[in-house]
Amino acid sequence: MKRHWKRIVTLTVSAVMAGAMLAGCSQEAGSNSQPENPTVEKESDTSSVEAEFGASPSGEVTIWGWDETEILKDHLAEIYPEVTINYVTIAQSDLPQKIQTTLASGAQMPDIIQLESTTRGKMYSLDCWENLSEAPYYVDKNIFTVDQLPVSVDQDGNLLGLPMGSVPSAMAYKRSLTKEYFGTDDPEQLSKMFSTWEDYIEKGIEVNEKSNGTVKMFAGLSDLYNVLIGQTIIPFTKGDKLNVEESLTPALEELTKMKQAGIVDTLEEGSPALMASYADDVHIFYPCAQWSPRWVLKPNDSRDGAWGLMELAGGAVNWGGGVYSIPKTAKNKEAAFAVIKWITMNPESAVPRRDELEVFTAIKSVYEDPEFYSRTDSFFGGQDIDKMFAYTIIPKMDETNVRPLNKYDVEVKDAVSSALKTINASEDGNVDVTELIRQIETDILSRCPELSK
Amino acid sequence: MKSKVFRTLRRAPAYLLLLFTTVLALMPFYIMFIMGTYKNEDIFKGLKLLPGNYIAKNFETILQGNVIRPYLNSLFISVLSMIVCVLVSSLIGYGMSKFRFRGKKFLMTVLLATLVMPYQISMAGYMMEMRWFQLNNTLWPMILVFIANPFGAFWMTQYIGSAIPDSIIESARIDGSGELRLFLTIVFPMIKPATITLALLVFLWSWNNFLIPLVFVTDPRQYTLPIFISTLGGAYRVDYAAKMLNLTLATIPVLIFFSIFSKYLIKGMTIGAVKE
Amino acid sequence: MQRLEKRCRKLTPYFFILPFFAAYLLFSVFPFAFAFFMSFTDWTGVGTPSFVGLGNYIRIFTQDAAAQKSFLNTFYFLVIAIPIEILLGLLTAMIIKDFVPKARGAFQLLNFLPYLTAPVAVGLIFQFLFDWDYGTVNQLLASIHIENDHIYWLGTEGTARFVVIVVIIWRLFGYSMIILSAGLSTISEDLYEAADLDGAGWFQKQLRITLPLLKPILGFVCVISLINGFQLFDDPYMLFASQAGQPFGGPNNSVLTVMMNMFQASFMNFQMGYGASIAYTLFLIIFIFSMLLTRMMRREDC
Repeated sequence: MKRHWKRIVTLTVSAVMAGAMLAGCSQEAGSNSQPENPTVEKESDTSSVEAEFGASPSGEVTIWGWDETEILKDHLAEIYPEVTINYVTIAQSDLPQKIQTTLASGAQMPDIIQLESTTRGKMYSLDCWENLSEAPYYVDKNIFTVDQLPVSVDQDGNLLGLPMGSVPSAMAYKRSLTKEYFGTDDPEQLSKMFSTWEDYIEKGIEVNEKSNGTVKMFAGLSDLYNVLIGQTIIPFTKGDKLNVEESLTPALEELTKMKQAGIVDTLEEGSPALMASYADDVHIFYPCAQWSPRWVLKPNDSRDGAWGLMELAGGAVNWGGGVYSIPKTAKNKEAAFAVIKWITMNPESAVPRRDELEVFTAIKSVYEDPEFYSRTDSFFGGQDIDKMFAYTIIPKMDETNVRPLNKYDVEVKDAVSSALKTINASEDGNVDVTELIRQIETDILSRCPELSK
Repeated sequence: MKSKVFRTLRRAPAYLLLLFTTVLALMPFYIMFIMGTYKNEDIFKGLKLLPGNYIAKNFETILQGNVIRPYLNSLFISVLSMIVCVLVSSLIGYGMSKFRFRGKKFLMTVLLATLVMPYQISMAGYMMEMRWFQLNNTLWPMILVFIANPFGAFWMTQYIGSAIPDSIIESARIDGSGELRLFLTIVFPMIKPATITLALLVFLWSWNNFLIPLVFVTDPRQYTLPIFISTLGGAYRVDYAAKMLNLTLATIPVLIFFSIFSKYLIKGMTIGAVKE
Repeated sequence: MQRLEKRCRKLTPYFFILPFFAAYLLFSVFPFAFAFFMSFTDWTGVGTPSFVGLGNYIRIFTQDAAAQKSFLNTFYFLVIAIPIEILLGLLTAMIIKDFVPKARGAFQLLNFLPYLTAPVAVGLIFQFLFDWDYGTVNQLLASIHIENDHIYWLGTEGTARFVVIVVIIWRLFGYSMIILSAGLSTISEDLYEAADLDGAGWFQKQLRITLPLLKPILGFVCVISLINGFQLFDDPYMLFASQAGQPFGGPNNSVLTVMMNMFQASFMNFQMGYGASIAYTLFLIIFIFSMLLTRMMRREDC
């Protein structure tokens, strides 16, 4: 009976709230969240990483994510015994929808959400995340590596999420093929041989001739696009104006040139066919992120010592990665902050993350130890690839060459994938790049009426 | 003898067509099964027509993720949805087809209107309602959505209208039967093919539904099977093989259901025909 | 006593329809009405909506090239795939009933399998079948030595549409078949036996007896299938969504249906108000269409 009455009361109250519902996100934040921690007077101490907030967390923390931060549960349990972590796996592709429907219905958001790179620009623009640069968090963004800063902040430079780790990328190659066609499998020598994309095209044509068209330099266009677009920082939009012609033309032209030269195969991004190609002997080069060996290369190729790793031509780029963000309407912000603080800001966390998850951290100070990241990998013929990533490649990345987030990242990517299909389908790369750009503009403008050419 | 051969020959096109559709219908499903028996990385290395031997390992992957709970959740939801929907739809089907009353035409139009409305659009409002009733993170949103199913209502109305002659109802009324008793003892048994068909369809729709659980369920304990399957494989590597095996397994309950009920379906159909 | 009974009788229909309409008002009407009001705002799902009047609707027809294309695509699929799948379903239902009555259950099950398969699986399977390099279809074409066997099915507009049509027919014909089977069962065997005595052939029997008697159920299947066709979402969506990096509506939005566009606007672009307006535009079109259709059928019944 009591429950019955409770329901009726809830209904009436909710009906009244329904009117107030239209006031939206900010109002709900006021009625749902805990009172702000009174240690705001710590303003003078803004440079300190050890802010008071989150010092003694307790209660339940719900995380939505896609990777196995769950592995860190045990470590976190030791450090914060009063906190119970409730980890919910949600596929990367479903996360934006889930966030949006939760916000729209006013349902309870979790305490922490992992935001992945391709949709982060859009997610940030939802304006539903705690500003971790300000009270009561006061995270100093300069403790993070320079390559993660542009992709962790919003356009005003505020940290809306704490970066999980550096995600540099390089070029992986199959040793037997490079030996056969280029006479060496040494990463340094190959790096010099392939210091620009033109070199790839030139040598690629030779490979084509030698192998009668069976062996190709690259398996597909999309991974190459990810690299090429990361190598410029020309923004996709300038204010309200679409700027794709300037920002996308170089990458699309390069890809078209490669297609015309016949050095790229037609396998599509993430397709099982592409995955299968890792183990074959007709595709030589694969863009490779720091996390690729564990999650992509090794699962798809069981051979040992067949691969090598060299630097990318044209500059290093970020690939993938995530940040931890706290929704404005989270219930347990203090514990949430404590958790993500340990994972992303406490150098101690870098150890299990390195050993158990095989990922890098984004804490600058960790990289001061030149021995911290080192792994001789027999998969790569004994190369110490972590060392290369951490101490050769990452230092070359900074704000001048790391592409920042854009609110329209998703729309651009979607429109480009259609264009890539067109290039893919064409005979000998017979496409007009200006036509592709035009189509991309039309696509984006359809979806975003607030933009103009 | 000659006429038998002749007859078979004349029937040949019909047999051929049936064979054609059956094979085509079956083939993709067969391939799905085959894909589940190989290692993920092997699937695309050439044309596979025979089962592989990786099935045990794929099975392991599935079990690692504790598949029992989602299975039971899906089962519970689908069975409940099925029962409630059939009941409610039969009731309204009977009311709409065998009675004349004020506002019937209007209601019929309204019904038709909602048939046309795609469910995705009601997501936002429905979500809000579930929150008001505090039913978020329970299995109820997935069930409630099927109660007032316009297809069910429309289907039952049509079927009862055409399958049950008014004479039977009239004579029962004359015999002094109460309305509800009439419905339960006379009408309901007669519409078995329709109720079973509807039951199967609702079960199927509920079983395969992805969007609603995605939106409403965050607690892994309330996961339904389709959601669970989408989480297989982890962060950067999609395990298609395990997914396919899981999908094959997920189809089995529906298959079993259908196999069992198709017998009743046939029985029901023949009974219905003979009673005429 | 008689008067009380008469009043009870008068009220009974309302009791029968009450459960449905109660749940319906609660779980269908409210959300639909909500969406209706939403369609006149620019609500993103988050924050405060502001009233934009008919702005969203105007945008569909003037600014949104993708939306316009989606109406065209939906129309293509509707006009081509739906009639074929209904016809196939009808033929299969009739053939199974008359030609293999003993194996009825088995054949029905097999032909219904496609509809049983989860949409996600359907997407993956057909991606596999029509894959450019490794797809079964291309491999089969190669083995029978067709010249242009390396077809980029999912990469060019025309062929992508073709694949979607194949998927639609494959998945839906079993559904039509099942419903029509239930409908066929209402036709009394006596009629056929009488026709046999008159020496009618199978085809004639279907034409003269089955079709006319099946009209209401057939009409029902047509209306349902058309509505399904207008609302097409699962098949083209799954074909391209099961893998990362695939363009949402196929190559150059060639398989983007109206519902896909609405889904994209509401759940991916965070433009719930606009998405609602797309859905309501479609709703209006379908509604008018099906009203016309049902009126046509009713007229024939008389």
